[in-house]
Amino acid sequence: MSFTKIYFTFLTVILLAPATLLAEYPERPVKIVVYTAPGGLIDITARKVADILKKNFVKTPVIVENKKGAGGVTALSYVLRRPADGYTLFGVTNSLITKITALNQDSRLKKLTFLAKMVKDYECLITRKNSGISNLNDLINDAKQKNGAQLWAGPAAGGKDHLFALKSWKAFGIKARWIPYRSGAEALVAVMGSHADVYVGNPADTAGRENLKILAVSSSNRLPTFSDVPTFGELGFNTLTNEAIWRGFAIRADAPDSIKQSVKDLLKKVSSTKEWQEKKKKNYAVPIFETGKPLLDCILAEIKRRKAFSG
Amino acid sequence: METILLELLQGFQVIFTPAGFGFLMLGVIAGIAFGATPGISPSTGVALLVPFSYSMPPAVAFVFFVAAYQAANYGGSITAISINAPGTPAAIVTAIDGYELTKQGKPGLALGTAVIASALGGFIGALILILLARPLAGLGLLFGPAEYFSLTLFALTTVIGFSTKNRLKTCTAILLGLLLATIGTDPFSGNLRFTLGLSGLYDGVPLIPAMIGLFALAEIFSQIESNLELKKISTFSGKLPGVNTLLKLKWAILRSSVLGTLIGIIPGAGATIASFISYGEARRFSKKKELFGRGSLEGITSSEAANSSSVGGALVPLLSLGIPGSATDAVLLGAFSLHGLTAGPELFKSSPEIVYGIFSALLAANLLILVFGLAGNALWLKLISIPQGLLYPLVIVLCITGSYTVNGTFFDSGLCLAFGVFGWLLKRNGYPLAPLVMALVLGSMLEMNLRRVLLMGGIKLLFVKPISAVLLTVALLAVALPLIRKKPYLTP
Repeated sequence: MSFTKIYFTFLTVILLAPATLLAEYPERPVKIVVYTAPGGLIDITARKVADILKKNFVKTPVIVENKKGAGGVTALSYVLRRPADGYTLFGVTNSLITKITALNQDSRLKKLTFLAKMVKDYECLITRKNSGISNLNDLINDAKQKNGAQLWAGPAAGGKDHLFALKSWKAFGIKARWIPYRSGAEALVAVMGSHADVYVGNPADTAGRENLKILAVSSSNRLPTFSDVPTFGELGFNTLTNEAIWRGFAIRADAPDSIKQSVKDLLKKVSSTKEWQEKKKKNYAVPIFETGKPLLDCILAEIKRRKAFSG
Repeated sequence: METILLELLQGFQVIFTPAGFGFLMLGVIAGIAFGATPGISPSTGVALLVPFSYSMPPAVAFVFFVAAYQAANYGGSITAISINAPGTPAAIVTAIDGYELTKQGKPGLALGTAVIASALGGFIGALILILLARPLAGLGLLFGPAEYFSLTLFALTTVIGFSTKNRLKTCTAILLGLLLATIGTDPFSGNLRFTLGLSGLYDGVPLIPAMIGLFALAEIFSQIESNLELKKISTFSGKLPGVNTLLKLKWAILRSSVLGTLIGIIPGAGATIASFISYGEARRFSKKKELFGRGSLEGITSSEAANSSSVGGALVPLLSLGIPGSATDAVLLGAFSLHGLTAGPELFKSSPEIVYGIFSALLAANLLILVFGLAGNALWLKLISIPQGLLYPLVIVLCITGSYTVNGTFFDSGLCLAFGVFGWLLKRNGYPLAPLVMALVLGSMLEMNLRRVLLMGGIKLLFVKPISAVLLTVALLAVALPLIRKKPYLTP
């Protein structure tokens, strides 16, 4: 064996070793794509995940990239254009799934594997403190009295909050009007300024806003931070229990299975850290970790529900 | 009063740390650069800074954001005046008279007036915020769909006054803008309208590419067509406005700043509407109405003072009610939760150093804007003194890359070019472009609020609600009065 040959064999071993022997995900920077601007709910969740991953579990950078626009289609297209190597994660929410379905692009969701649901924000009904409506019963009576003219404010029709409103009108046996706003914040302002009666939102919406009041929340038990707020179940409206906006992560479906598993394990580790649990509690959201078939069923139900709305 | 001073002192303690002052300066410089870049609006600019703040102490982070927010509103005027490419939507109004002055060879006068009006306006807005945040907070809540509709309509009628020649053509331009504003996802049903299957149009016609195309590119195309002789450097005057000139503008600055702050307080109205309405009012009060649209310093002053003061105004609802007053405030709201904080009245108690840090940052930022702005003017003057044969290709590149940066798609660059050609065609037939862009900006607000009014109780709401009724009357008068007058001052 000549020296050159030995040298090259040596070189080959050295070069290949990291790729074959030491291959532990992630070896390169990981990118998390989100469909909102910085500061959006999913953006905050993604940044917290990236932060905890970097601090505790991975050595490579974890970068959050914002690709907003076109109701999430811009971000989805971008994720599907990136290589299927498992280094691009996609921050997803059920609002995103509803929006993509509304734009008739839901077939493209099949190109994703949904890894885990990590945070849940329960739906709730919010009014002003001085509105004369102090509990859910008042709200129902007021609606009956107004005979269809009670005003409910929220984002565009067909969105997650509107679908929840329709479901609750059915449960309460009332009629009301849905007044769409560009964003949840704008709709909330309308309720604060007495231009509308009810806002469909999440407990976090009342944080820092003194004159708002939650009438009922859709969690199955009372939330620790809002122990005086009754659940819909308590008030006899079981069909409205467990309605929530959730956030989680997906990856291209054709990424290697081993990597999918590694990412899922990493996310699981993040969700069990103390920092994660505490941060979520502070933001009035509920930390969860749901994966596999229950998650898939939930997504399919979401798509079906939006399709039923379009007719 | 004493308590406010003491609290402010607490805020200045944040700024007078090395980190605090460093990020204040960095924020102002970044803000001016963002504002001056067509394609980066104040909200996008601040959003770009948010990820960098993750590891900063929250008080310093918000000094950084607020400085950039305030400076970006000024920065928009620079490119508006020098190359007719408004860097921010609000600077459309500044471009009307500012670019006119540049064409007359007096860019120094326009740029200098813009800096001074911006800094003073921003300062007045900040003072109103600091002194009256709590009592004024309720003002924004008075505005429901009826009031918003009438306010928007009023802003739109001031545009009719902009035209110096043909009212019919101005109205046509407004209608074209309104038509273009209907493109995109229907805000009520979520259905797509006139998008031709292009996902780049799902969120409506992207405003910034359209604006840059219609203003800057269209201007260049017409210049090329008219084949002007290349201007020599010596024909440009870098002379800044003198003390006497500025003293004459004091009432315009004060009026526009108060108006800008008040409009800023109304959530969602923002800097653009503030500039337009303030410009219309300045013209109404002016002794030299004929100069508007032909290089009026009062015009530049009113627009710049109003959009800068709207920053302080827009922070009123954010800090006292926890609701965003502008698109940039929505980004700030997100930044608050990113730092584990909640915007709203609680913040005054739980983290006063942040609130007062924001207050003192606003005051200090306006001072820095004045310093950097006046120093920077020499640079801008050099830039526009480049022979047109070199300057125009640079501007075209800036327009196309600027459009790309908004969403990172080439679709927007193409759209910018298309709007450039469209704008050039309109221009050559005597159609004014500012009204078109204004209608494009305000169209969806007008539509959504009218539809909400109809859903909530019908058209009568517009006339029953007092604020709405007053605004509608003023709007009607703004259109009708000049028509009734014997000798309309508008005809040249």
